[in-house]
Amino acid sequence: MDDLLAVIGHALRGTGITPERAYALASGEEPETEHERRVAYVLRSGWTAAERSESMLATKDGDEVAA
Amino acid sequence: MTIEVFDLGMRLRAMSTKSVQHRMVHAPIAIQSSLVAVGVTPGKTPKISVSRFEGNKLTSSTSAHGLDGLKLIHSNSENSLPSVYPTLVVASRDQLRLLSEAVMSLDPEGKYAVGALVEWAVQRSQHPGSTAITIITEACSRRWVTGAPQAAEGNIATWRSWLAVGSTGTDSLIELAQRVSDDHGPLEALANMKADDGRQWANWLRRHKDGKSGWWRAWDSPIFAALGYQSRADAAELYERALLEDPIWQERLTHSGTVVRCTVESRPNVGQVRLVTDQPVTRYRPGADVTVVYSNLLQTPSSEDKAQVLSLSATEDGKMMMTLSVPAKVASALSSYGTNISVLPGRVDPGLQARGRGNLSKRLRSSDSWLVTGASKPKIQRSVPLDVIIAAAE
Repeated sequence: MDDLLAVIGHALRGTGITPERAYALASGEEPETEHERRVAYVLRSGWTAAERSESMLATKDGDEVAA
Repeated sequence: MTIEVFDLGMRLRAMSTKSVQHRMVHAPIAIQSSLVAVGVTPGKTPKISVSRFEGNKLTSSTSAHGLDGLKLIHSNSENSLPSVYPTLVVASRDQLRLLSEAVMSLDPEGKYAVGALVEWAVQRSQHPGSTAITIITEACSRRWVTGAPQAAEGNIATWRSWLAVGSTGTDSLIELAQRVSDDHGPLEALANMKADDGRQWANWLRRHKDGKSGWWRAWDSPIFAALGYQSRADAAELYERALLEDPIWQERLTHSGTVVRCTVESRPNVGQVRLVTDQPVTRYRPGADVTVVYSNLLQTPSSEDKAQVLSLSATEDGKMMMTLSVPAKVASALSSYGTNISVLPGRVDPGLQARGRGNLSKRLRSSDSWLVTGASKPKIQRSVPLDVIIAAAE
């Protein structure tokens, strides 16, 4: 919990979303309110962008190996 | 705030997977083939540690106190500088400041060329994307996100740990510089920065050859300072645009409205295209020069062209409409309803920037320049449109 609090820092100030809830939303849990839906959309964008960059790099590696 | 939440999404994934996440696919910096990593331990006589990477070979860390330490960075007894500059690698801006202070205190008269080399790196550190210096914590933070608190990323130990760097001390700085710059190659636009570094180094060498001992300590003239300020501003503008070549960085900036993902809604007039987007925010105002990046289904890679924002409006269902003036060939390429388009800031032309600095130099040196005459700059009053004031306040 302390780790999570430290990582989240001030990013969610004023949103009324707890660190645990933010983690749950970022990792794919369904939002329950409109407010949560909006925050979850941006959090998920960051999470999935990280996933996508991983697969982009893996594809590039694959291309290079194939070449 | 929104970008902060986007970054947090990445950080939480890093925490969950216990591995760094790529904020960018491409490397945000480029380096020279010759690297000099420097660490400074402050004290009455500062201790300076240096590792080198030259000719594909690492010379492991050596350290010494005082002037002997400085000579490890650049030991040329003839007081000359190398014809090709190395990339100076430091852990943080704080380390660069300590190094600059060490040079000041250990060689107050500027007898040794190492002072010119360090001052060059300090000046280039104010030009984002320069190949003359790599500040590891900054470069790594641009490239990756760790699962540690953001503040911890200012500490080199965080990066050593998260990137599982085997080496220690200044050797680890070399390893980190190579990893942050080499992984899948740097952004193409960084070649412009490297070319500018090369030109500036040639100037630096000329000044060093002609100048007296310690010439780099002299205060800049007002004209030189003004041109230096413009050069720094140009570099920042060029680098900010260069980062947008990276697809993940682009996605990040959709949340600030710098990049707007749209679809074609209609073509209201010849040479115009109307776009629609779900994004709630855009940085662009009517009159803004932008770049449009688009691809049709059978077209790879995507094309891009210049455009100008004509108008913005909101639809009843809360979407944003953006009408652009585009070249005729773009308008016909975008004829199909639903084509995806990204609207990005206009490209920055380094040649145009250089010409701008040349013109500024002429203006500043002319006999009626307020900098030359010493007369105070005349006040100019004019009315400013309300939307400019609002944009500035945002």
